[in-house]
Amino acid sequence: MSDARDGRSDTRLWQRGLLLVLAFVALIHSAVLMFWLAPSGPVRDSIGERTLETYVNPYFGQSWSALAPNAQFVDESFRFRAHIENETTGKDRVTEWVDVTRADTSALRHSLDPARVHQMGRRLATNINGAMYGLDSKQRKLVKTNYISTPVSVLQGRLAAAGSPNAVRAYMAYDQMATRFASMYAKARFGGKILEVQYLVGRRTVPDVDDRSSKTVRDVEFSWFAFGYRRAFEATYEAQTAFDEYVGR
Amino acid sequence: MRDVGYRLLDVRDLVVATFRRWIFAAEDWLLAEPRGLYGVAVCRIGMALSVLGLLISNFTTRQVWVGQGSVWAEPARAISQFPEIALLDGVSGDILTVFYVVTMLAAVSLLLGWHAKASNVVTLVGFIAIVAQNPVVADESDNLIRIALLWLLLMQSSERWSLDAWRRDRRGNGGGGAARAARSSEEVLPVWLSRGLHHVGLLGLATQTILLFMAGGLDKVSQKIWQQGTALYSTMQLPEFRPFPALSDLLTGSTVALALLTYAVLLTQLFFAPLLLNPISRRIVIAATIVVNVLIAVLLALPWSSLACLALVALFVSTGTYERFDERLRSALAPAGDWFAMRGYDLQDAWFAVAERTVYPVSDWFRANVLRR
Repeated sequence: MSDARDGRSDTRLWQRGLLLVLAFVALIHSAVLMFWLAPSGPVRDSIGERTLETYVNPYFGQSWSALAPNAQFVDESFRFRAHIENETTGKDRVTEWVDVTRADTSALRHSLDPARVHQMGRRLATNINGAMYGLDSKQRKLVKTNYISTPVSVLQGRLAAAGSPNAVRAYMAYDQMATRFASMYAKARFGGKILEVQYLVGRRTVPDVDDRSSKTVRDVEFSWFAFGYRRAFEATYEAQTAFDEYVGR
Repeated sequence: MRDVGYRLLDVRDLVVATFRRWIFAAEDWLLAEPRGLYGVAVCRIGMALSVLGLLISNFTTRQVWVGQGSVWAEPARAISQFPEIALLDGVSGDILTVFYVVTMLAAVSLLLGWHAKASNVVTLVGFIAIVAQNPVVADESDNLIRIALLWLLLMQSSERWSLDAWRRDRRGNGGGGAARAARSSEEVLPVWLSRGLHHVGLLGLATQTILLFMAGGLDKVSQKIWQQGTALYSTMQLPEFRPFPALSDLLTGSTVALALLTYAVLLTQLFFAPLLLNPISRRIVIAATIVVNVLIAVLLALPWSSLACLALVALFVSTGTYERFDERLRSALAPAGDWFAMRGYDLQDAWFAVAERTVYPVSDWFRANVLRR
């Protein structure tokens, strides 16, 4: 069975050397990943977060708590309403609130291999809630105002003037995503010309395990945070068609 | 004084000798017959199935997930560092479909081990390009699959249970020399390099897997809720991890069942690496990890990430176990194989019978009358 060829004696020094170097690199690579996966400590700090990040990302990026399943406690919800204009009559109206998360939840039921699109609303809510943590009370008041004729980029300037710039960037990115998502969803659901949309995110925490017989997460009310109206986003014909097919009417 | 000098020289010789021994041992390890070929093959099959499963699950909604309909996720995409996303940047729905189907076909061919290296490359690039289009709904298992596919590139993943191996065996049926000729005709790299790379890849992926389990386990054990054995309750209350509410409630309703599952998850992750060291505890931890992942797949609707996890675990099953399984599989499948072979012959006979009455007379007539031979 064992093949005598290409053992150590049949290879040249540089060939063996090359393999040793490659194996060494693989081990060093693993050590670097270990520091990346580890919580911050003296060694990790001395290498520096940025250095580690540029080495690990994107191809070897993983998070510390990567291995499913994880303990999660928060249920999130994404809703929106739209101000629409009937294109034939020219009349406008504000729609009722659309509960995106509820629709997704019923799509996920009895599905062993859920499609990722059914997580879109919930993930948007999670990320917006996360971004809100970075904003202070003055900034949170600012996001409640409407930006319809004034471009939403003005909001970015106002938020940046009020506090931490990093959190503002994250919030503005998710605000843009939520606005686009709600606009396309509204168009698919109601038709007509979408003028503005307003989105709403809710969160509630799973009650303690000891109370499970009397109170589950479904008995808990969401605490809502409403944002101001934003000017609607108009998607291309093909993009909107894809969305129409997904949402249905 | 002189004595001390000699003794120092002795010590130096000893250190040099030990170092040389280690280096030689490392070289022998790297240049030996490729190890873990079955485990690597199962890892290849599992990862290919994960990719394929994920793409099939999302096929009908692909245009909204990663196509034109995902234009809303543009700001998240803009900060993604994967250059592969440029492949699908602003493409039309039809091109996305073609790209998507090609990636699925590559995953099928990786699964079957048909031109495994090439299909590994296409699967990896296609997978990254598709999944990274919508970072908002990305999953941690995407990272796991990507990293495994990267390391698999270095390894000889189609030496067992693959069409590549089957083809090589068939060509080399004429005996040892012919087999070797058939093998070497397909080898691109010199033997020392392909063996060395295989072992470097194995080292890299195995270390990565152990680190992943260790990090996951340490993270969990630091949380009180895992120590108390109730951590999975809250997760199983959330709609996205509750495909079968009655089943989830049944399990979380029992304190014992909940604690068993929670501890099983925690312990198989935390002690995965140390338990691998002993052959008996290795079997136990691998069996437990398989059971835990199957349960998670069903209870939390995480089939593809659980499968990817199991594909990594497959690396640690010994070659002896796989060989016994292979033998049993072959003897179990032999009657079916024989049956198919006999039907193959029947089909051949039937074709000859038809050809004798149709094709051959016509060709004979043509040769005799037209070509006049």
